[in-house]
Amino acid sequence: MLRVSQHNAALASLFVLFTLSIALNIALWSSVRSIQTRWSNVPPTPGLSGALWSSLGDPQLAYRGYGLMIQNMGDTGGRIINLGEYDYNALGRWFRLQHQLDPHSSFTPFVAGYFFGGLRSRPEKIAAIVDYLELAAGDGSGEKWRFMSHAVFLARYRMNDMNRALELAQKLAAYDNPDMAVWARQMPIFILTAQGERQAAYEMMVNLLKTEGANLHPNEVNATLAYICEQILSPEEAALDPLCKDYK
Amino acid sequence: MKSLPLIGPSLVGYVITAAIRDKLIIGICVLLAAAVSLSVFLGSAAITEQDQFVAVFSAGSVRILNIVGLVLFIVFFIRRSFETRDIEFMLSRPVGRTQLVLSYAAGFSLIATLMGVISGLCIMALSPHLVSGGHALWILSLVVENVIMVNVALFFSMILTSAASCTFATFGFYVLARMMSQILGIIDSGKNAVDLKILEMIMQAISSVMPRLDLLTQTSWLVYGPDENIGPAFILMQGIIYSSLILLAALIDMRRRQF
Repeated sequence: MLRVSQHNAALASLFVLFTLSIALNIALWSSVRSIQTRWSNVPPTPGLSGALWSSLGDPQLAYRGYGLMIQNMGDTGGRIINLGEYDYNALGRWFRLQHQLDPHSSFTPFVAGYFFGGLRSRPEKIAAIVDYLELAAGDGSGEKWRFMSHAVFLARYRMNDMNRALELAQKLAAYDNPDMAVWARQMPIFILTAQGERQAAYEMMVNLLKTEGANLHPNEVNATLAYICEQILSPEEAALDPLCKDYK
Repeated sequence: MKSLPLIGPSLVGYVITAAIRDKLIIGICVLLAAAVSLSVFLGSAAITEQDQFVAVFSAGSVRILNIVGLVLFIVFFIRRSFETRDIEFMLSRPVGRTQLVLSYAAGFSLIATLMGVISGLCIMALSPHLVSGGHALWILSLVVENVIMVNVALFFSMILTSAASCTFATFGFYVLARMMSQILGIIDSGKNAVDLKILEMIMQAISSVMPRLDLLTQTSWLVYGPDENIGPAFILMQGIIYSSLILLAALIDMRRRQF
C-alpha cells in the first residue's frame, strides 16, 4: 500500500515537472517568436568545384538545384524583395557559374533576362544581366539567339547605352543560324537609325534586301521596305528614292 | 570429394528472404515515392523547363535513396549475422567461406539490380515524352553503381566490427568515389603548392583503386541524351572489374579470419 502511494506520488511529481517544462518552453518560444531570418542579399558564389560538392559530382543536378535557388532567392519565408535591392554583380557571378555547369539549358538565361531583367531605372545593375546574356547566347544556335536579342533590348531601353546595344546587335546579326528571324539580322539597322546614323542604316537595309531578298517572305520584304521608306528616309527623300516609288 | 559450387542458390534465397522480411524493397519503394513526389513539387515551381527539373531532381534523390537503403540493409544484416553467430553456424554446415561470401554478394547484387530497375522505371514514367537512349544508359549505370556499392558495403561489414563504422566507411567511400574527378582535376590543374606533392601522389594512388562513380548516373543523360564518351561497355567493365576487386579483398579477409 505504501509502495503504491509512493509510486503515485513520484508519478504525480513527474507530471508536474513535465507540465512546468512545457510552460517554460512556451514562454521561451513566445520571447523569440518575432525574431525571423533576415535577407542578407545574394550569397557569395562557390567555385565550380565547390558547387559540384553539393551534388556529389553531378553538374546537371547542381545546375537545377542552384537554378531553383536563384529563381526563388529573396522570396522565401513570406518575404518579397524588391528587385532593386538585389546585388546584381553577385547575381552575375551566379549566372556565370550556372553557365559553367550547363551552357545548353535556357532556364538560367530565361530567369536572368525576363525576371531579373525586369528592373527599371537602374542601368548600372542591368549591365550584369546584359553581360551574362551575351555569354549565354553563345554562338546563337537553336533558339539561343533570342537571348542576345533581349540583351540588345536591355542595353538600348534599360541601360540607354546605344554603343553597347549596337555592339550586341552586330554580334546578333553575324550569327550563322539560318532559322534566325530576319528582324534579328536587321537589329544593327534599327540601332543605327535610333542613333541618327540614317545613311548607314539605309545602306545596311538595302544590302540586306539585295543579298537575302529572294529568301524572305513577301510580308518581310514589305516590312523592310516600310522601315526604309517610313523610318529611315524622310518623306521628301522617300519620294525621290526608287525603292519607295512603288511602295504605298 | 565433390567441390562446392561458388554460389549457393539456397544462400542467395536466404539473403532475398531476409530482405523481404526486413521490408527493404517496400521501404525503399515508399521512400522513392516520397522523393519523386517532392521532386515533382519542386520541379513544377520552376518557371521554365519543369519536366527537366523534375527528371533531374527525381534521378538525383532516387540515386541517393538506393545507395542509403541498400547499404544500411547490408551493413546491419551482416553485422547481425556475425553477432548472432549465424555466419559461424553456416560455416559449420557444408558451406565454404568462398561460397558464403560469393552467395551473399550474388544475393545483394540481385536486390541491387531489382532496385535499380524499379527506380529507372519510375524516372521513365515521370516524363515519358523525354525518354531517350540516355534513360537506358542511366538505368544501366544505376544498376552497376548499386552493385558496386552493395559489394563495397559487404566488404566493409566483413572487416569492420561496428555497424556504425561500417556505414560511415561505406558512405565515405561513396562520396570519395563520386568526388574523385574533382580532386584529380585540382591535381591536374598544376596550381598546387610544392609541399603538397606527396599528398598528390597519395591521392593518385587512392584514385587508381577507386571506381569512377562520377562517370555513372549522370542526370544530364536524362535531359540531353547519352554521353558520347561514356558507353555501356565502360559502365559494365567498371562494374565487373571493381566488384571483382572488392569481392576478392573480402574473400582474402574471410579466408584469413579465425573463428
